[in-house]
Amino acid sequence: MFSYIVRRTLQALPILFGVAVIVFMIVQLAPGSPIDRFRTPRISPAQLDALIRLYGLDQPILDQFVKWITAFVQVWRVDAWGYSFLDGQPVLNKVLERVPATVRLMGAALLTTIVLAVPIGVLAAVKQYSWTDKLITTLATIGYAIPSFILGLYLLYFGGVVLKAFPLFGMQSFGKSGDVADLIWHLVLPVASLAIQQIAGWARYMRSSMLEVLHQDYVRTAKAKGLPRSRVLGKHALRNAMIPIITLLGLSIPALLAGAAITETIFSYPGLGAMFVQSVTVRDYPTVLALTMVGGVTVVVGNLLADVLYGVVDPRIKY
Amino acid sequence: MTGPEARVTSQDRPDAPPDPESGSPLWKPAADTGSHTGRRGASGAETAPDAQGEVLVKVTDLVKHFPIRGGLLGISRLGAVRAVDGVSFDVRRGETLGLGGESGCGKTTLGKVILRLLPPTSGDVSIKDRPIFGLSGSKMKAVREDMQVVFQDPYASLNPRMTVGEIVGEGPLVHGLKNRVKREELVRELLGKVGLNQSHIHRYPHEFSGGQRQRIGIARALALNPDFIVCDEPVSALDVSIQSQVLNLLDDLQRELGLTYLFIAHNLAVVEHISDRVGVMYLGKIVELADVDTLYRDARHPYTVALLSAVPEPDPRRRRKRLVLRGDVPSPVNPPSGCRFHTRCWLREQLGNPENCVTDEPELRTISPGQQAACHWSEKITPEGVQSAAEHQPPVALAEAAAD
Repeated sequence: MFSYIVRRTLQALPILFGVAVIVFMIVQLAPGSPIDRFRTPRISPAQLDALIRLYGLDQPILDQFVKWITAFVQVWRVDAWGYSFLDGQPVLNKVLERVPATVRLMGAALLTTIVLAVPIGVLAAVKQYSWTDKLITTLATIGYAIPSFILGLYLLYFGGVVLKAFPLFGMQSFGKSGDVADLIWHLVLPVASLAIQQIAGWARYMRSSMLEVLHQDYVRTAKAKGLPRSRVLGKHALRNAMIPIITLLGLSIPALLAGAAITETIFSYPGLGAMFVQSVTVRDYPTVLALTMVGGVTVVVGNLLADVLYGVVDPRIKY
Repeated sequence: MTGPEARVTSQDRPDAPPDPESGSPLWKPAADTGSHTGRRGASGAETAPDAQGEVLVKVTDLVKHFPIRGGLLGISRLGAVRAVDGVSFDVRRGETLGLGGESGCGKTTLGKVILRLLPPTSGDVSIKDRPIFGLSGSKMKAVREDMQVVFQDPYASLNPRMTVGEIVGEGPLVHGLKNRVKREELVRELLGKVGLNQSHIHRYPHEFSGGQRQRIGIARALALNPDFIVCDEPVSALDVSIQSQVLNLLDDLQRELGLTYLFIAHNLAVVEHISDRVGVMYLGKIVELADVDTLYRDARHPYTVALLSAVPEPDPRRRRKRLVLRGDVPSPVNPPSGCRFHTRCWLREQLGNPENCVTDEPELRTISPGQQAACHWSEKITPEGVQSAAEHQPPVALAEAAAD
């Protein structure tokens, strides 16, 4: 298992290199240039030339890429990811500062998803074609179809403005630093907005996966052995139905990060997602590059996690 | 007619251990297994069981319909698939009742309803004179110790996330054998009994071959020390060479433990090899039920006759005309009136299409001692008639038969 993880991590390196190439190209292809923000009527062409040379924009693209990537991997140096155009702070520090907030948001959303979606999906499968099942399936379709920015705005409006039950923005009230209850209170709406779509998708997968397993002969024989229903459903059916759901877990992690971009912006939540949207808006190139790479790493890690979990839960898979 | 299975003796099973103590060495005092009614040996030389043998399982007018729902909200009932439509028979203690018929005739559904793995639409099943439908959870749990099942697909019927020990030992565990050491001892004994290496107890199902997996399924069924086992096509998914091993294992276990089988299979050679009595199903009904020798020698339902003529002949030099049925099995949603077989019946054609075939549904009636058939015209079946029916088939059917 350990050697498998090492091997997979090594295999991830060329993938991440490919991601870096593509990310760098996209930024190159995007209209505009890093020095556009200095273009004011009062700047002279000579000063612009100096800036171009300062940022190395006069050099061939390949050289620029090599320079960027060699610096980028030296994460032990504070300036490895460059300095933000926005405030001149090291990007690495800014990212690290915001990681806990986003991890908290994503973790809470993922936990909520698993805790709610698995029982909902199982319920729908066990009561297939009943009113319960139809209600769940319909709600899941609606939940899956609502765009998260609409959902977030509604949640904010009803939960924060109409009911005044939840805060309108931020991660923490002023002067309540370290107060866990306050943190959770601030998390409720953003987590709901992130998780509802996930729950809808997971519940539908869970339902079909469970249905497939319920029709297997080993579930019938379990029943024929005289096992209590809870044991037939739990030990025999659910355990096997969870195996394909692991794939979903691997896919959900990057999806949550992408969703966090919208959610955090709507709820003014100080995480990586809001930072990403902001950096794109103001063309903060070093931050955009860094955060896109972080996203790429998340995809690779999510997939690795799913593959490792397969080995843990499925005895047919050995690494 | 001898299928390849019939020629195999138990010596072909290299890994069958000698059984130390036959009977019921389980953790519970064994129920009285009763006397063996005259069980045929593997050679098929002995006679059929005594018609007066004790009835272990009684199926009375069993019906299973699967509703077809449709409409805008999916709640209006459009009709029903009449998978099992009024089936009655007895299974006697110690015998093997074979159940044959085409795909989709309702054999498997019947087996599942008898075990209460599917809820019945109507009718009754009793085991040891005890009706099982309507039993509450705990009483049903007790009944489940008496009746077990072996399914067709050895890959789908074992939980891939459980070891062999867990699979076989789980039944005893939920039925009160809490002691782990004793349970493992029991599992090892069962593995030995079905011819598996006892040291494989901690392996997972995927580490075994198809035949071995089916042996695990048999060990699991035996773990509760049942009287009655429904074998639902237990060898159909296996290699022919493995089929005979598993059949012989089932045969040996029956003799050793006094088991009673309901053996569902579409392969009539297999059914003949293992059964004492055979029932033939067509569109949810039993059309003929007879002692095995009688049925294979002197079938009294035109459908049975046609089925038997389709069994492959192992001797390639013996050419034989086959009675090929035309058309498909009619839909079980809307079965034909009168006799369900009349749309494809060669006998009806030969007799000049008598009207009662279309208007009256034939009852399963006794033709001779130990033989029942559901045909108005059973007595009209003669060897010459079968011969001429086979010869006077339309060109298409003949061409098909000749191509084989």
